[in-house]
This record gives sequence, C-alpha cells and structure tokens, in this order.
Amino acid sequence: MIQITKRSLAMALMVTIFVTDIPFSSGLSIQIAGVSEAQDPPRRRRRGGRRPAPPPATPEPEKKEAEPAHAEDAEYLAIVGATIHTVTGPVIRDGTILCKDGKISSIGADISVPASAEKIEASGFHVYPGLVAFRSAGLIGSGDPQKTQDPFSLGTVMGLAAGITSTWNGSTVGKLVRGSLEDLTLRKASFVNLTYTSRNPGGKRELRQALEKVQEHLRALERHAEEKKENPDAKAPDDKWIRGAFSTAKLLLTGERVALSRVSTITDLKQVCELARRFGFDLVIEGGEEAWIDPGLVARTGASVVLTPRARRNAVEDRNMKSGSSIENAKILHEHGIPLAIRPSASGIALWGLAGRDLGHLPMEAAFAVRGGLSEKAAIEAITIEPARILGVADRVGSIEVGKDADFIITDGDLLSYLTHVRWAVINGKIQYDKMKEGLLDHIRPDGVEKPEPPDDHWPRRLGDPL
Amino acid sequence: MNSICLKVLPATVWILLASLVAAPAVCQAQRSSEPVIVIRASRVITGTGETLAPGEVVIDDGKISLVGNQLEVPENAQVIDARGQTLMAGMILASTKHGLQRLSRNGTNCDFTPMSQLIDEEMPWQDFLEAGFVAVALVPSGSGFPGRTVVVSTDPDNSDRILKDGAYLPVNGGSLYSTFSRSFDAARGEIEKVKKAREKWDKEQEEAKKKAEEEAKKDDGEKKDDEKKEPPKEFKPPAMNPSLVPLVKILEEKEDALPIMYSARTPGLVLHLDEAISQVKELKDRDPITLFQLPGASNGAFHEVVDLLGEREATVVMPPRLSALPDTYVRFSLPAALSRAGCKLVSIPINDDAASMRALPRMVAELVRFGVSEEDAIASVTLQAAKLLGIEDRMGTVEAGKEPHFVLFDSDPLVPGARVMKTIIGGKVVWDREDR
Repeated sequence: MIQITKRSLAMALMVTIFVTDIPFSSGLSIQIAGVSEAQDPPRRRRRGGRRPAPPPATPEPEKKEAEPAHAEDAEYLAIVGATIHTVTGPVIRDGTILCKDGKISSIGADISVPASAEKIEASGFHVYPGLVAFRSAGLIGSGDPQKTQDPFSLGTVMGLAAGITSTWNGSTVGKLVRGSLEDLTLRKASFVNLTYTSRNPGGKRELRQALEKVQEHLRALERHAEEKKENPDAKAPDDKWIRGAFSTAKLLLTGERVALSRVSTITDLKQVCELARRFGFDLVIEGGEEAWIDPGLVARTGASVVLTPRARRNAVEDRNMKSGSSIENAKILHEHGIPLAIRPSASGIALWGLAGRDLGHLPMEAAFAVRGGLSEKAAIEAITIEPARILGVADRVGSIEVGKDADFIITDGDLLSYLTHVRWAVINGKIQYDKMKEGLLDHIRPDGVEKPEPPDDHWPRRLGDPL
Repeated sequence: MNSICLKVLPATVWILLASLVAAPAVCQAQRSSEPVIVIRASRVITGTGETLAPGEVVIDDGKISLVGNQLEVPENAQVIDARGQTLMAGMILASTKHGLQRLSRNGTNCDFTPMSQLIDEEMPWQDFLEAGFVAVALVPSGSGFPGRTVVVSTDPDNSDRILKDGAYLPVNGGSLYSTFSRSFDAARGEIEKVKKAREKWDKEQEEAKKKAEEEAKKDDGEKKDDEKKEPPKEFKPPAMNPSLVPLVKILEEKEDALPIMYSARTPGLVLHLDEAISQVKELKDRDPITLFQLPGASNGAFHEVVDLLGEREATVVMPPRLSALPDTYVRFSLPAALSRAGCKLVSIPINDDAASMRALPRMVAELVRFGVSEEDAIASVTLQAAKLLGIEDRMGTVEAGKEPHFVLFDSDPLVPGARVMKTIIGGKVVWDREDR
C-alpha cells in the first residue's frame, strides 16, 4: 500500500520535475514516501481523470549547462540527432542523450558532448527507453541471473533485437547484458501467486480463512502495541502458527508482497478483485481477457493488469451476460485509469518467431492494442514504464530521464510499426546490440529501404526461360 | 643429445654420424639381455619439428636411444619392418570414459578414481589400440568434483598400467557457485581443524613442560634419568577427509596440487567460472583456471570467449569439430580460432566410442584445413596431451630418452583415410592390422 503511494506520488513528482527542472533525487522521493506513510493508504493508483500530463506542444530543451564540466575518466556515450521518446516526458526532436558511467546525465537539444565520448549519429532514428518484458524465459537465465545468465546466448541477442533490455524471469528482474556479468541484476521480485477460482472451492475457502486468521492476528498485534504503551509487560499474541500459507497471507496483508493472479474469466476476476478489496492487498492481474466487461471493478480494486491484446477467449453464447475477449480490452482498461502492461502470449523467444507471438514481437503485441483503440503513447508505456512499475524497477529503467540507467533502444522508425527494427540497443551506457554487426537481422532492409526491388530473374520464371 | 644434433644436420652427415653412434648402441645391446629393436619406417614424424623420410628408431633398454635415418643396424637387432608406413609418437587421449563401468557420483569426491570403474578383463583396450592410443586419461563421471583423472597405458598385457594417478581434477555441472563455495569451504574447514589441533597440542606440550620443570624443581636428581628416556612426542594431525585433501592442497598451494579442469558447456560459463573462483578468498588473486574442456564445442557462440581464453593461454580439450556462427551458415572452426589466439589445443574424439576414436586423425586433419599448422595438429593428440597430463617427459614425441610408444599409419596421418597399421607400446607391437 505504501508502495502504491510512492509510485503515484513519484509519478506526479516526475511530471513536476520535467516542468520545473528540479534535479531528480531519490532522497526527495523517499522523504515524500515517508510523509505518505502516515496518511490513509488510498485504494486506487490513479484517481479518475488524473492521467499523465500530456507533453508540452513545443519541447523545451531540458538542460542548459552553463559550464559543462566533463570528467576525464568517465565513460561517455552520446546519441546525437535522434527523436527522443522519453515516455514520462516530452518527445524531443533532434535531441541528444548523454550517458555518463552507465547513467543518463543529460537529455535535450543543446548539449555539449565531451570529445572522449563514443558518439552515435542517429539523425532519422528514434530513441525509446529499453522495453521491459514483464515475464520471460531464456533471456536472462533462471533464478539469479548473476549466477545463471549466459551473456553470450542467442536468446539474449534476440531479446535485444526485439528491443527488450530488462525482464523478469520469474524471480529476478535483470538486464540483458551481453559479454559480461556486470550490473545485470535490478531487483529480486517475487509475487505471491494467487489462485482463487470457483473451479477450486475448497482452495478458495482455505485461502480466505487463512487471510481472515492472519488479519485477526495483525489486529491483535496492533492492539498489543497500544497496550504496551500503558503496560510494558503485555503479552504478545502467539505467532508460532504463522507458517506456510499463513506466512504467505501475512506477506500479502502487510504489503510486503504483491499478489499475482492469472485470471481470464470475468467470474474469476470479480472474485479475485472482491478478495483483494476485502483484505486490502495489492493485486496484479495477468491475462484479464474479460476485464473489459467490468473495468470499474478492477479500477476500484487498484489492480494492475498485464494483458495480451491478441489473446482470444470465445464468448459463451448461452449465458445472458457479456463474455469473451475484446480487441478493445486494453483501451477500455486504460480509460478507467488501470495501470496496464502488455506481454505477448509466449514468454520465450525463438529464432523462428513462434508465429509472431513470442517476446521477439513485444512491440507488435502493443501495436495490436493500438489497433483496438489504445493510444500509441499508452501502448508504449505499457511495454516500458508500466511493467517497470509493476516490477518495482521504475526508479532505474522504463523511461528516459536524467539519473536513470542508460538503457534505451535506437530504432529505425516508429516503435509500433511492423517495419521497424532495433538498430542499436544500449544497456548501462554500453552498446549491447548493433543490428549491422549481428548476423541475425543485418540483411533485412540494411539501408532502411522499405521495399527493395525484386531481382531481375524473380518469379514468375518458367523452365526454358533464359536466366 | 643425439636427437638435438639430428635436428640440425643434413641427411648426408647423418650417415657418418649414425655409423659413429650406432657402434656404442651395438655394444650396449650386447651387454643387456634384450636385443636392440629397430623400427624402419618410410617416414618418422618426430613431433619435435622435423620429419625423417625414411627414418629409423632404435629402442634399447626400454627407451628410445636413437632417431635417425639410414642408420647401420647391428645383426642381432630385432627389426620391425614398417616400410611404406609413417611412424609418429603414440597418441594420447586426454579424456575418456570409454569402457568404464557406469558409476556417477555427484558432489565433492576428490579421492575417487575411475580405477574402481575399471574391470581390466572387460576393458576394450583393442578399441584404443586400433585408434592408435597408447595412453588414455580416464575421467570419473558425475557433477561437482567427481574425482581425479588417472592416466593408464592401453597395453592389454600389462597389469601395472597406471602411468599417473591423478592428472587433473575435473569440475562439471551447472551449480558452479555452490560447488566451489561449498567444496572449498569444507576444505578450509579441514585446514582449520588441523590448525586447532596443532594449537591445542602446543598448549598441552607447554603445560606438560612447565609441569615437568616444576616437578623437576621439587625432586631433582631422583627421576632425572626416567625423564630423559621418554621420547619427544610427535604432533599427529587429525585425519583429513580424504575427499577434500586435493582441494586442501590447492588452497595451500602445494607442489603436488592437481590443476582444476572445467567443463564449460556454454561460453558464458567461462565468465561464471571466474566469478565463482573469486568467491573463494584464497583463490581470488591466483592465476585464473587455464584448463578447459569444451563439450559443447559445436556451439558457435564460443567465438565470443576465444580472446578471453587466448589471453590466459589456456589449454583447451575439445573435439576438433566445426561449428557455425550463431544464426548463420558461416562455418567456424573453434579449435583453429583458439589456436590462433594462443591457446594450447588438445583434441579428443566427439564421443567415447571406437568409431569416434578411429575418426580422430581425420578430424585433426580438418584443423589443418582451417589454419592450424600440421605440427600443432599432431601435437594436439600427442605432445600437448602429454603436457596436460604431466607425462611429457615419458612420451608425446619421438625423441631419444623417451619411452618407445608409437603408432604407424599407412600414409600421412593427416591424409583423410589414413589407417592405423600398428600400435607399439614399450617397443612391442601390441596391435597390428595384419593380424586381424
């Protein structure tokens, strides 16, 4: 609950920062989070109508350094002349990003680049924050990537080619760093997997009872804390029974963990949301194909949704209620202010593309939501900053901001276009992927030509034709 | 000495020199009971950088005594006539499990040797001999530290076959970090145990001394003679866990510590290995591990660590096979690239079976095709393997003073289709194609 406040306030704060040009400092955000602790935790992440502020019509230069003092020994990388999509701020045309020692040190139109900097001339290219894949397999190893990632594996290269720079492998959020094992762990993130479905009524009851019992215990603890002020010898309530499912329930109720529930029907969705509202824990819904039917409920619950716009669910015709998946799902949820992340239906990545439904096509999945009415801006947020927020790493990745990690991709066009490829991917201020240097995609539109002429002896050609 | 001269002098001088040196050889032969053995071959690849054509090798008293061409041979010498054939040093297989009984142990079992998996009567020695191997390193199976590698002779009639008990410590398996931290923590524990026992013993000794002195003051003269008779006690260290002793030796940087050989299935594991090693504080500042086995050598992604391995002049044990660069059809010879980068190559067959072992010379020839010198290619199955196993003073080249283990091919060993005609161990023909 505290986290929610921190996020939403930090978001509001970020908007302010961009306008007022106050240097962003983590100390500031912590302070504000500390203040918010005393307040009653709000139930909703975004109140109605409080959408991210639209970018100013004329992008102002972000930073004007009077005396740019560049350190001699620092490692610089400069992306010059690109269109910068900061995601949390304005779009800057013909701008420059300067990275120093793996962090973004300045963004804007007039930025002096130190002579020692590695330079990428990127006019005509677009810069987006590195995509954050909510869930993946085979991109950064399993478990602790610091110990399991193969930084030379093809999966990592393919992930970078798809624009993904950070991902959650089920236990840790890490970066797709190549060729080294440095700075690749962002955060250990584990959710409580919540299965609460009418298909398993027994399990439902057990879970509910466990939550009730732990809630009772937490109240007893609060009472005990009060009592202790008057009577220092007050006996603390017994907590030896808090093991197994009870300790998981406690993690949920104290807000230490967030619940992640794989839900697709509206019936299950309603039940999970009711449970989350009754016990007041944080909820992330994965799937949510029928969430468009009652978006208000999801919004009131304060849940985030990780959805797959192309996932299909057939309507049940014999019931007198709405059912089935909708192409407009993402749009409707976004309109209700529900934080939205997008993931493809497969969490792996494959050379042959898994029919365009693997992580190699994460922007395509987002583009499909745009087809259903979601704004392009929201679709890009749903594969960058929103999954970063859900995974708790938005302080480091997910948008292009001064002070954040220098993780971004440079594409040869609009991210959501089917023609666009990632030209360079940068992680920690180092170029990790260069399309023209990998055998993977270098032969596809190498000069950015959209439709190469077919060769002279192209089809149709019959036997006996001169070659 | 002789062989060194042989390198420099042209063939004409040879005849003169040979006649001079052959004489003492004859004398020696007369003295010893066994006759001098002479192998005559059309070509002798010495492995020291020269090829004699034709060439002779003289074996006296169980050692190579002379390598040359057109030597005069004493009358009573036993001549092995291999004209039309090429002689080179017997091949050495640096890692195999062929023929061993299946037994795999996971965890830290450094005292385990594959000899317990070996039943001499059931070993397919003929497979090794047919492929031209005169010595093979038997590797224990299992993950973690499964045991130590033992080098044995493939001579089927020799019961005393262990050439070296403990050549290297193989490490394999996925959980690299826990393997290293757990095993070396345990080894450190053993060192501490001995240290504590030592301290305790020292304390006891001091107390005993004081006591004795006090007693001596109390009643001197009387018991003096008895005390003198008592022999000074030696400190007996408590027994260490034998499965950890080799690791203790590594931690204490003992002379006879075995090197660690790491099997890296994917290139990333080479980086993880360094990280895992640096977790062990004693090993943090030591030279990095330089022995690698690359069982996943067909993974083209290994090209990413070629420079890394080349910088540390690693010895790489791998099948000399081709791979493709990731996601391309670009052919890539990892062993050739490693050799160019400065690694020492040791070639092993793709699989542990007779057919793969027979195919090894053909695959080594592929190395030459991709730019490895012929000399290095042959050394990858002879001298480099011997150096890796620490038996290079006994075999690996055809040089005076070394043991007479040879393999004879019907043509140049690097010509595709070359077949092993004879395998000679200790001057004895132990495998002959004509006998089949």
